[in-house]
Amino acid sequence: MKSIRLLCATILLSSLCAAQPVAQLEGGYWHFPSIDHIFRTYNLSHPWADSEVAPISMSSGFALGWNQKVYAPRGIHAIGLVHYRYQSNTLQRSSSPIRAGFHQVCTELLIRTHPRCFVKEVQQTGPLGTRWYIQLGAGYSWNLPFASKYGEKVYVANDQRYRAISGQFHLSGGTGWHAFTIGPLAVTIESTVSWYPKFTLESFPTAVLGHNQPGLSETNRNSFLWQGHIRFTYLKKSKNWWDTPRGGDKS
Amino acid sequence: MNRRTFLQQSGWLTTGACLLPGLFQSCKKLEWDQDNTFQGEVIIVGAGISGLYAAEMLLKQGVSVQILEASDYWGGRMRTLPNTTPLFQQADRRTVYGQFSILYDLLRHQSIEMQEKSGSQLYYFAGALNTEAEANQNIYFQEMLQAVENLNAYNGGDISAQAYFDSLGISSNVEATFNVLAGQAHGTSADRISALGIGRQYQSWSAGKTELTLSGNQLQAAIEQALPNALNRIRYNTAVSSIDYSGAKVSVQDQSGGTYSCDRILLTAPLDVLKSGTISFTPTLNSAKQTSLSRIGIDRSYCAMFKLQTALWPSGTRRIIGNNIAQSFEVSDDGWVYCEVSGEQADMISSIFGDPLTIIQQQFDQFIPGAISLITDAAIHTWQGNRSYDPIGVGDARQLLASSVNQKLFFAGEATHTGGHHGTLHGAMETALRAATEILTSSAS
Ligand SMILES: Cc1cc2nc3c(=O)[nH]c(=O)nc-3n(C[C@H](O)[C@H](O)[C@H](O)COP(=O)(O)OP(=O)(O)OC[C@H]3O[C@@H](n4cnc5c(N)ncnc54)[C@H](O)[C@@H]3O)c2cc1C
Repeated sequence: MKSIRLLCATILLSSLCAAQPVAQLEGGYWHFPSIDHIFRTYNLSHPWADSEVAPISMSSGFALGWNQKVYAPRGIHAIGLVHYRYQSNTLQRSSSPIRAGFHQVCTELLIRTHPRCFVKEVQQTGPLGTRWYIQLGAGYSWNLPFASKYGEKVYVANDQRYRAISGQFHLSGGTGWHAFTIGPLAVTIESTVSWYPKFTLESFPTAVLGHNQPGLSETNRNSFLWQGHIRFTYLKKSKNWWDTPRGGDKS
Repeated sequence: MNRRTFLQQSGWLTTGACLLPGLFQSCKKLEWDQDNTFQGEVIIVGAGISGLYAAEMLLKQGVSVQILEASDYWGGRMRTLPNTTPLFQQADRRTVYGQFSILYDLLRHQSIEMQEKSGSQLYYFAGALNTEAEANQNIYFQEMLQAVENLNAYNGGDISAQAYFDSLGISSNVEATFNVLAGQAHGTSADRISALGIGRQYQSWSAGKTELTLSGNQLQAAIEQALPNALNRIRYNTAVSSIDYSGAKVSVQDQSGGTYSCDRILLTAPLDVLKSGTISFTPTLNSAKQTSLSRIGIDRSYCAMFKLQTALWPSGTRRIIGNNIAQSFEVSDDGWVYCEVSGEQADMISSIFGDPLTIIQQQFDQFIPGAISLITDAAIHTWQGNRSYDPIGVGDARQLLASSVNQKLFFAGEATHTGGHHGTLHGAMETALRAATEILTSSAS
């Protein structure tokens, strides 16, 4: 058992050594009807307010990870990422009596290739494979919501500071394009959609609305996160085929 | 890639990244979808805080609302002593329980100044008035305070708070004080309220623990500012006597024979009114609803206020906890005294031959000798139903009471709160929000 573990660790380490390190900046938009409903109810419940409180829509964050060539002839690459994302309703409108949102830490494994690679092998060489690619992935995220009103942190039942971590599984799909290189850094533009079945933030209705009357929160619903990424991949040694003089974009 | 192309491409990327979320953002609907929400006529029975607040929300969503109010004033139990002079309304101190509530938001929006509850308490037990320091020397007093504290975590059998106290074998010298802290604080007495009910209420409480105070006048002014449209829709001196919801429309009749018609009706009349059967329903309410009414508790209470020429207690005293008849006196440095007697003690006063106000004043004179001769102004109000509490066996009665009937008959009011905020102003508002969303979405179902 011990030797198997050691073997796995060695394979992982050696493959990581061969992999390209990745850093990524992210910006996104959330579509989560159940969370929107909480903010809609908040606005309904404050008929005297001069302006409405914005819901949570935008997300910003970064990710770190590695890019590993899996099978060059089919342009298959694996990418492992750990994301941190921050979302708050004050990202849209800074002046708000209520500030609510959540931190998200997410681990994700992505597999990418070029559609053409499904039918024939590609010749393009280099650490990043085809220039344009599609990708599929799956991951698990941990959400830590927060809420404060008039600058004071919200307390929920039993006088506990509102801090309720919940976990969430997701699937994602997307497409990207290796845009250019600056020295050893390849800059990639990417767009993805992640599907979170039954997205929920624990006790969020209580924290935002200030109470726990049932019927005010909609049951968990499918949620989606659209994201735009700018990814920087550090190319350790070899160049990409499209980065060589007159390589051109053939994929 | 040269510097210029790099800057150009980065510029495009940044602009795109900034614009895209904004574009998506405009797709988010923050308003209730008017096409999919109920847009008919609603009658609200009762112009207490829950009725007014529900009306304001519905009006803002384009629903037509009329409020029928039995008395000649708005606010219901929000006014401790209705029909008294502004002098009393000014002296009356109302408590805002917690700062995470819609009520707090409302007051904050109106820039109402609230003070955190402060000041010392005097305790009358073992035949003498004790300062906090003196009381804390007493072992029985300490045990009694611990028992009150333990009730908040109580999760045992369904027994009364009094039975819990008795089971601890604490001296009866401090029983009256226990009764104030465990019973009267909930609008009843310790022998009527369930220990489990107190524990559950405490454990599900989510409004925060800070207690703030403001005057009755301030509260009324804030409501006038925040809910102006609702106040314009009240028909006073209109006590609803029957509701027929058997047809497509709901037809309502008042005690003077006036008839009204609507698509939805929201009942916010207090629990004691619903229990008394003064409002008849066609068809009659189902048995689950009827038993729920009998399973939730609400007691009569006397609220007395009087002013002394000078305060006869140390400056900074907030409350004098009394004996087994007149239980608790809120006092101020300018000589005002407010006393609320409820539960078993209120029944006791009503059975004694004599004026309840005089009885309460005489009791006060026992603790503060000479007080009675210094009284300049006094008033009393009898509430047939003070605020709801959980007696033994309450179970899911509040959920049953809160549920709507045939998507036409809706229920709000403090007694329908299912999350521990019953018996409070903010709890009543929260039930109104629940009922308003039920009405708004009722056409969809
Ligand atoms: C003495 C006292 C002090 C309190 N102090 C505080 C405090 O400091 N802080 C706090 O948070 N809470 C306090 N409460 C509790 C709080 O006041 C109530 O929970 C809240 O006001 C209840 O509001 P409501 O709308 O549910 O009912 P109500 O205010 O009772 O409103 C119901 C309305 O219905 C009307 N009505 C009755 N029957 C009919 C009918 N047949 N037809 C038409 N109309 C009818 C009534 O006249 C009334 O106006 C106190 C309660 C009392 C009694």
